Amino acid sequence: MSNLRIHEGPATPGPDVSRRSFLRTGAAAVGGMAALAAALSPLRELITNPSISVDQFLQKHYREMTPNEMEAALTRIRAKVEERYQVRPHLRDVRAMDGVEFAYALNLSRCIGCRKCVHACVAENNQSRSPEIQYIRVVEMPRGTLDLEKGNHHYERPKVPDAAHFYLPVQCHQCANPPCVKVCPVEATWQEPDGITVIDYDWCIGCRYCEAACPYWARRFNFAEPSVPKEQINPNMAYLSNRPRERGVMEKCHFCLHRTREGRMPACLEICPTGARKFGNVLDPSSEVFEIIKTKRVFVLKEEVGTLPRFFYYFDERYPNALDPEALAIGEQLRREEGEAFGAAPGLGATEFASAASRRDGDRA
Amino acid sequence: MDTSPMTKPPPTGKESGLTGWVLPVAFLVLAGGLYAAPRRAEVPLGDPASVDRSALVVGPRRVALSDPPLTLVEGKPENCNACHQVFKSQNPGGAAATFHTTIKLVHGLNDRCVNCHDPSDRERLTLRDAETVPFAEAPQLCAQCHGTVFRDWERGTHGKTLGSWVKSSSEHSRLACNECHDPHAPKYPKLAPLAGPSTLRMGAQPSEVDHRENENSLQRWLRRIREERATPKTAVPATPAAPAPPDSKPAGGHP
Repeated sequence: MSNLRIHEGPATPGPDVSRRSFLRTGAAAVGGMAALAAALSPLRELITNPSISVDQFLQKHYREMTPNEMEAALTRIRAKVEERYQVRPHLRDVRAMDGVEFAYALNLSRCIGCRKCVHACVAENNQSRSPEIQYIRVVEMPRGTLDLEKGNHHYERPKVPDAAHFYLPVQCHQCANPPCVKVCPVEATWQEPDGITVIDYDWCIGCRYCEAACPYWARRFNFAEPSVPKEQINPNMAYLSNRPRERGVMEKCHFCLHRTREGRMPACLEICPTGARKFGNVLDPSSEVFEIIKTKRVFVLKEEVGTLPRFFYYFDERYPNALDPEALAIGEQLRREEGEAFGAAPGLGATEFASAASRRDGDRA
Repeated sequence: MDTSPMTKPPPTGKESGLTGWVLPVAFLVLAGGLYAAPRRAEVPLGDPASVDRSALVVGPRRVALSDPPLTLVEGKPENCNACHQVFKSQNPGGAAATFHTTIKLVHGLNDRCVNCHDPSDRERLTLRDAETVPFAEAPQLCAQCHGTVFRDWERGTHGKTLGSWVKSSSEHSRLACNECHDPHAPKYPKLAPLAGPSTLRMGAQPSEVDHRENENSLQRWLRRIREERATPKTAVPATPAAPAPPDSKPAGGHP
């Protein structure tokens, strides 16, 4: 042992601890502590960031809160909103109405793809402007197909609608059999009695399983701190709908429940310039949505996945305006493509087609 | 007997001096690296979409004419009959509007004012059976030609409903035909679309996406079949007589 020493220390602490081993162990301990402190340093944010309080940390699940606890939570959220946006919010907890099940219907014959619903929704529901979060996505589809792979989300035109396309707005379908609710590991999202699937933003852990489970790509994730200009905050808020969200939680369309549970219309419907959007109580036989489902040609998106959406698409019993030459040309092209798909030679006129058919029948006879 | 060798500290001095310093140095390097690294991964934030706030005003697209209708004459609102009872129309048939020059009539086969307006009382609308209705009941006039849409509108499956989805509510209001459509040019005008999405993950995409490299085997097979069908299109006049009979024979023999 002693032959490896370079300097003999005047006083060694013990028989088995040399100065060198003491320094080495000490340096390792100091370095290790420093590394540990560095690794844990992001946690300082928990202490310095006033947005996360102990009360909020210990807050119960929405469905387990007593009225007093809910009032305490609402008071806390009100104070936080006022501090952050200098706006006194009209925040409350709106419960589902009895005997009401909401349904939405959208007339594809009338939608012109102007995207007003998208931005009215953003303004109503205090979604983050940057990074951008939008609940509604309008897909421009070529006429003659419902293959969403062929849709264009980023269409830019001087004027819409384009005669060769139709427009398919997609948002949360408020499924009766919602896969997003099934996959949530902490039950932070659930279906309410009126059919709206809601999220407790304070309970969500941000695992994004629901986003992966949703076949309609209806759920959005706050990757960064949401930013809403103070002057654009909508102070009409409810706990389960449009109160400000934090970074790292999911959000989605909730049929504007802070409006609709008080009898009003969703923001996307009010702004729609063509009246393509219809909303109401499907349990009421005199409601508009009941009438549409009863009398119109209605379909749901991706029916085969078995989600039972409450969002119905329908169209009118009419073809594009027969006096519109542009629409006529498209109809002609569609018929030609259809002929190709069924094996008829392209460009065959009616007489050639008839003679070909008689030749075929003659062969068979 | 096992505990005595464990409690005894290992003879560290016997190790090589260099290897003994590896652990402390590694820890210090790790600590330095963690402090130097940025606290949080930078998330690319797009610019917020610029949206014209005036595009988000809720309400009917058009202001329906009051009943009885008023029009501005030299800046003052006047009833129709204030003029039409005094001055005789220059075109009794109403083929062209001489005074109301702002009105451009683009409404199907209608080319005369009196197709809809009552010639004797300009404050009423005329139906086909010579009955007249006030302006407030304009949908009755529209229904004479647009029966299907009128039926839909009556049921609530066409047109815009504002206020409340509760039918018994006082705020529940249905817009009339002329609150969305201009009766003189009823075709709904095209609009400029508002800003599209700028998604974090997808970014801007070309307007027409070619999915050819992503197609599955069935789609590839279908496309090849279609392309094969499309290519002999030019040679169609030469081929139909020759290949058709041999094709039809096995096909006919099958059943």
